[in-house]
Amino acid sequence: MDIFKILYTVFFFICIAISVTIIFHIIRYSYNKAATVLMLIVFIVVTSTLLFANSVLFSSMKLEKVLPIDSINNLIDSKNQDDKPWKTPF
Amino acid sequence: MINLGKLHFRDIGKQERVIRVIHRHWFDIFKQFIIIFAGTAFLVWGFFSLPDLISDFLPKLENTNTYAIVFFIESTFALILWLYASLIWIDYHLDIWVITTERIINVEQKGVFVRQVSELKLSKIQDVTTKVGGVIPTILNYGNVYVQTAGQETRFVFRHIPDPYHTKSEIMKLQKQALQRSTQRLGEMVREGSMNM
Repeated sequence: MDIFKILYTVFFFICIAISVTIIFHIIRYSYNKAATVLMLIVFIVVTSTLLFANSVLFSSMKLEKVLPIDSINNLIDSKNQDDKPWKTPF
Repeated sequence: MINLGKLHFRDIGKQERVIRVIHRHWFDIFKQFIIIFAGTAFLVWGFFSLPDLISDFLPKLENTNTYAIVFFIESTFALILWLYASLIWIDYHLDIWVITTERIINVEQKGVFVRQVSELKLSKIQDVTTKVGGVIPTILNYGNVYVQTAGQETRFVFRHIPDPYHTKSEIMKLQKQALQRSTQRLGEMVREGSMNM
């Protein structure tokens, strides 16, 4: 399950990076103060809500129940045992 | 009121006034938002329909974990849609054309990290051309305005702006006024010079 956590962490930070880029553009280049404030509020509220909900849903998932990771691991282990020229006594 | 200082130009002149700030026509961004609307409709449909579909057709998978995975996928899709929509909006909102009494300023956000700012003095304009092509642009009255200067410089383009004919007339009128003012200033300088002699 670590690989999924790593992949999700990468995805999460990509989303943060895109969000920071958008906020930077709004603050730096927008020419109307009222529009800038409104856009910032809407964007930050919606993005943080979506990111929070997404991370909560990810942590509530039990991927090991859906994906047969244990049986795949057992298969790999048993194949490795068969490939050895000697057999372990136990 | 537009803050010309934010557009990273030299100081605005004392006599200079902003006449108009132009964005691209709303239909231009609407075309890009069609895919966002379709994605949102799919999301809403999925939120209400997928749990019922799973219980009807995949009863063996019906448990809390399955719903958590379905909602996680929907949430990820919603996040990606939102960020994509925000990028489209930023691209639209930061593309502006500013017409003042002295010059035309073109601010074009060509990508996330590509931004082009250029200006053109009204007195240097040689030709202004309007182009409205297609059924929808004709009905909604939006198109391009091309401003050509003397020499071999590339022309200024107002891309997909509303009411391009009015913008063209406005530019021509302001250009004549700018030429008159520069002629007057030249006359005053000549008079001052002759008086001093």
